Amino acid sequence: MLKIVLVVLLAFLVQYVFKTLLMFDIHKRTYNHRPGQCRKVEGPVHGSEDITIVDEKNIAFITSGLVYLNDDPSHATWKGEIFLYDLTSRAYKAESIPILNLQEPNSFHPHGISHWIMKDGSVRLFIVVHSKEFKHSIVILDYDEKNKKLNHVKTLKDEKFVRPNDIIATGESSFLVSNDGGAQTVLGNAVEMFTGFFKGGLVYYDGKESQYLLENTVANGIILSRDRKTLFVSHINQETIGVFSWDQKKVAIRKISEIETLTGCDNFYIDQENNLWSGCHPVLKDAVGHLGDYTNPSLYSQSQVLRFKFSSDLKTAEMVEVFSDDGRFTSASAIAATFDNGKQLLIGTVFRDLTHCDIDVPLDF
Amino acid sequence: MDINKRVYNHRPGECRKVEGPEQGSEDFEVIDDRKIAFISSGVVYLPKEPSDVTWKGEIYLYDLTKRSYKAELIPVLNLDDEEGFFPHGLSHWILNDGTIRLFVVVHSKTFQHSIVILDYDEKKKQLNHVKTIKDDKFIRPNDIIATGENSFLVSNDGGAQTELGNIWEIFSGFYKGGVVYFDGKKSTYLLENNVANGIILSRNMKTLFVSHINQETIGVYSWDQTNVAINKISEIETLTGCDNFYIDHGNHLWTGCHPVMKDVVAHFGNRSDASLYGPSQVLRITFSNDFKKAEMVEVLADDGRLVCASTIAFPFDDGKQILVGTVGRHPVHCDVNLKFDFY
Repeated sequence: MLKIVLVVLLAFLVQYVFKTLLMFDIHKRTYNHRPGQCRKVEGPVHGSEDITIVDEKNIAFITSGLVYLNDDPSHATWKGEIFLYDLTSRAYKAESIPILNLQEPNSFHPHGISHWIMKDGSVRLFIVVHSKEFKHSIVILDYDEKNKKLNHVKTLKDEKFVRPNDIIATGESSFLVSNDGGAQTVLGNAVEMFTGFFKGGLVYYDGKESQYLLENTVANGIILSRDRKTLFVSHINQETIGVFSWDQKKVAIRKISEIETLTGCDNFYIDQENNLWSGCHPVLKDAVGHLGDYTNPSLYSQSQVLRFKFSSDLKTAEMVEVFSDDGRFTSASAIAATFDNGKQLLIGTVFRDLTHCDIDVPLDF
Repeated sequence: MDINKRVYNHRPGECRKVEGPEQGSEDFEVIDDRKIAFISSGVVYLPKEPSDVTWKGEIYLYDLTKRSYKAELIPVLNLDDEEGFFPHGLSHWILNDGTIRLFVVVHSKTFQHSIVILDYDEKKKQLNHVKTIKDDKFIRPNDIIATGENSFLVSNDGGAQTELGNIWEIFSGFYKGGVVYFDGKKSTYLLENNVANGIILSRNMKTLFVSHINQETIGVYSWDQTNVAINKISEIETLTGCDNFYIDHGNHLWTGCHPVMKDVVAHFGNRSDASLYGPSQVLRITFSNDFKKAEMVEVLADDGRLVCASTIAFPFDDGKQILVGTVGRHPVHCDVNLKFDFY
């Protein structure tokens, strides 16, 4: 009897170790390639974690200076910033724009970003914000185009913003927000990862109150299709992308499929042809190393940009790898967005600079 | 077996299949000054039964200047055993009179091995048999490098002669392959108890590159032909099963690889099943001056639906085009719209 128990325990232990090693991608690496000429963009040096492209104005807003699972507030010596990048001039230089009337300017460390075009044509930004102590809020800013600055409109805190990562604006005051886990410390997050008992999910805020759409899962990047009927959710720790139908009137989602990627896809962008673009972390063990000590320049991790073309029923997807780097050029890609009719690409990273590439190769085979 | 890996498709430009070699394009041999390439097709590898081999072994010729996407089958004359000609690795030597001499690793339907030497008649576009060499050190030959009019290096990619024996060899790690040098009269072991798949010499003929495909590494050795001696310099870890090699004019090593071994094994096990295919990968590898480190650029990756189980790749037309060969399917010809020197 004792032998049987020991054998079962040993079998469980072996398969658990095996699964954990696979999760950390111990037998993977990247092979470098680029879709064309690539250059660094001056400006954001402490991250370019998320990008929102305003098609109507040919500009992109970039969040920089992320604080994540910060056990030691004094460690965060950088500023949180929002950069503006002109998509028409190939300046390779992004401009930091001032944010006025923030309640706590020193606690502004932006993460996910989304935008909404108001009735008067102005751009409203929705931003996931953490403080140095890793407190969370959603900050709404209006962009003053003439004066090139951002005006604070509102800061929202909610108990359901457990550990917010990304956001999708669905109206002037409403949005979807993802929680990428429940733990608030590095140790807690490690426990969550190793046990597989995830406490993240997806929350909808209608302007007054919030409600859960997904619970007990990992939700990193989130985005809606251009017709706003399909929701894509990055289950980054499971290396899958969840595809859901979204009914905003009924505030309801329904699962359509789950695409296995075998890479940790982070944030999303939907291009003009409804292809999904993502910045991914193909080798988790190196990403954990880099992201765990992100001020150490000798640590870096791999970057990967994937473009997904979904079947009409959204049950399968074709993947093209547009960019791949071992980390020395682009470290820990988090977002990729294409513009200029698909001829140019911006790649944002979690804690490093922004990369701007030409696309000189065919992506539709 | 690469269970946690997959291929993410990308191409360096427009790609098209090359018509002609339907049963494989396992090795290419480029003749730089004539702007042609020879393609070996129809390789037989660890066959279960001779009757499983329903295809012919062939040599194709491809004009690298025309973009015809069509390779021409050229006749091989005066072979001792025409039915037993299934070509694998290829190499060439330019004779004193300018004639191209081909050195071909050949297997029969019953998986007997030999090295066949053929001279290319350029005017008539045919290959004339010169000599067939058998040797007990040609255990399971894979690739070959001509080092003279009658001398060559040949790799053995294992020792087992059956599929079951090969599986045992792979799982036990007791490899019986290696590298053999034949000087025109006799053969000498240079490497033993190893796996040697693709082999090639640097353009100055001083450095030997050996694909240790099952270990997913590339061995780099200095080669001294006068003393018939090699000396190990380094072993580059690739984490992919690199097959055959090509050295370009900039001394970059090009190779066709099998990035997901489990899918390739399934494809090889049932070569004629069109629904089974293996992923492909083309790497361009640039070595440091001391050959101890290497930078890798992935030029192409395919899940197998366009390029099935790549084995060889090389650039031409000043690097603006590439050809990719496969074990058991057609080759693919691509444009290259990119630069590969990042660092």
